[in-house]
Amino acid sequence: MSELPRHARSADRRLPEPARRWVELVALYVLAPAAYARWGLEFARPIPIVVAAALAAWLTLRADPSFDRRELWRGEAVRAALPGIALRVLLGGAGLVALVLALAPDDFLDFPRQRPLLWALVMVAYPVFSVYAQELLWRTFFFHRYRAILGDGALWIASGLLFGFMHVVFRHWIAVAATLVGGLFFAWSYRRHRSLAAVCLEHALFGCLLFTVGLGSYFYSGAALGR
Amino acid sequence: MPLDASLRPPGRVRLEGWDRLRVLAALDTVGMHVAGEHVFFGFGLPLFLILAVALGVSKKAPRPTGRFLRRRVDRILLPWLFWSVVLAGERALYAATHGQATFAWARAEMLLYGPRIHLWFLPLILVAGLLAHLAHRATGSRRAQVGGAVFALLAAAALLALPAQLGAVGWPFEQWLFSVPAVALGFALGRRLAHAPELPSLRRHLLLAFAAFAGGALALAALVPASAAYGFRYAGGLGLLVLAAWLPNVPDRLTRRFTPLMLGVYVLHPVVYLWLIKPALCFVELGDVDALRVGLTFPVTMALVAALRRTGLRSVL
Repeated sequence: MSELPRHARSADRRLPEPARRWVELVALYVLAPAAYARWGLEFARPIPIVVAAALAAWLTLRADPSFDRRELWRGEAVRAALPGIALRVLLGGAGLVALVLALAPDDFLDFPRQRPLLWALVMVAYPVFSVYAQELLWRTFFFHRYRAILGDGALWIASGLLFGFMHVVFRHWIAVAATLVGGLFFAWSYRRHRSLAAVCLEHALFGCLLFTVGLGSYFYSGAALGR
Repeated sequence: MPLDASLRPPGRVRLEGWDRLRVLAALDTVGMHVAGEHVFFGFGLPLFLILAVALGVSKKAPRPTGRFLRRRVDRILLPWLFWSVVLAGERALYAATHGQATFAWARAEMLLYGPRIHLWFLPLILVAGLLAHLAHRATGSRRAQVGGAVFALLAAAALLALPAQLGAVGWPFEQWLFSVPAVALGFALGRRLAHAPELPSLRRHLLLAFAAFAGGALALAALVPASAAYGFRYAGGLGLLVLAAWLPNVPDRLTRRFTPLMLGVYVLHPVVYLWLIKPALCFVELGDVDALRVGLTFPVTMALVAALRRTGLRSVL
């Protein structure tokens, strides 16, 4: 295989290129979701695209000599993060229940009651196929790739806000608003614990709760097509 | 269509990302066939077509036509004939067990593509590969090859107008028309690959080629609006190839295992869906969940193909 010499590649990747990173950040985290929300949703569902993008991000991180591969999981930090996760899920969960009871009380627990098998499948498949991919893209990749241009302070806020913005693909303000708050929680937690495992656990709990209590239609591309 | 186990002609840059794309492209196609919607915007078919043509002409000097044909017969024609016979039997069995006349589905034009519509790809790629090979032989000097590649790139953009101009001609002929630009595009890409000793220069040239093609497709869409959808899919397929070439060129074991299965996945997925996945999902009342139909058909077919490749069927899978 013909490639750049290894030292040249490594040096190239270590060099900060602020302008290039800014273009990349805007293209990947602003323009791509906006374009997909406007034109793409009719032609392809979001989860496979997020998974494919996460695969590309994973490959990029893996080939980066400055990246610590332990950040792809770091399960040992979950224990320390658990009390905070439990508190946020309890408070956030109560907020979600209140939201669904206020907006659409008939939808409360509708999904598990109407389609229990599909609900059970979603509870298993959503964390496996969607959550890890999203967290890899909006946390690990984002934090590693854009720390140089955003700095530590703005990094987690940008990560959380852009995670919320990504949910414009569902074409409903509830999806954006809820994930804006959730995204800031996750980004803050990731900044504190540096654990993708912990943030995936929290994201999965919130996501499963959201589908269970009756807000799933705001986060489902099939429903978004009708909006 | 993944017709070769490896994407590297001897002495050329091996692009690991293109192998991965073939898996995604197969998933895109399976999604269309079992759920009625593409998984990746319909970029998969142009991707398969471009790669299949490009790899056939990615050596500096063309193979002797006889050798080229023998290889294509082994890798495409014989598998197509074999699976045509098998799937004819399967279709007759399906009809007989579902209260239909056993051979009511048979049509004379099926002699051109096979008993199930998705098999159209195999004879098409046989002819497309031959055309690209003949163009390769006709462009001897390096200058002629570069000129040929540039001409092919522009011709590919122009050919996007073909299906729109000819109107509805029925399946699979519309698919064949859709595929014509891939011959030119694959030829251009293959010729560039032949003269790509280093990845960085290949990346830059791919980016330029994409910009030229997308510009051409955009201009054509302004003149022939009906060509826009074709242009979008081709530009997307080419764009993914470019993007994959820019990603770190590192191998992974999963892709190396999956890629050789994709021809079999393409050929067998409708059968797996019809006989296995669809009845099972209907039984548990989940037949309406598109993601499950695709998400089960794809890996189950891969597992079946992997098992069959351990038998004497390896030569036709």
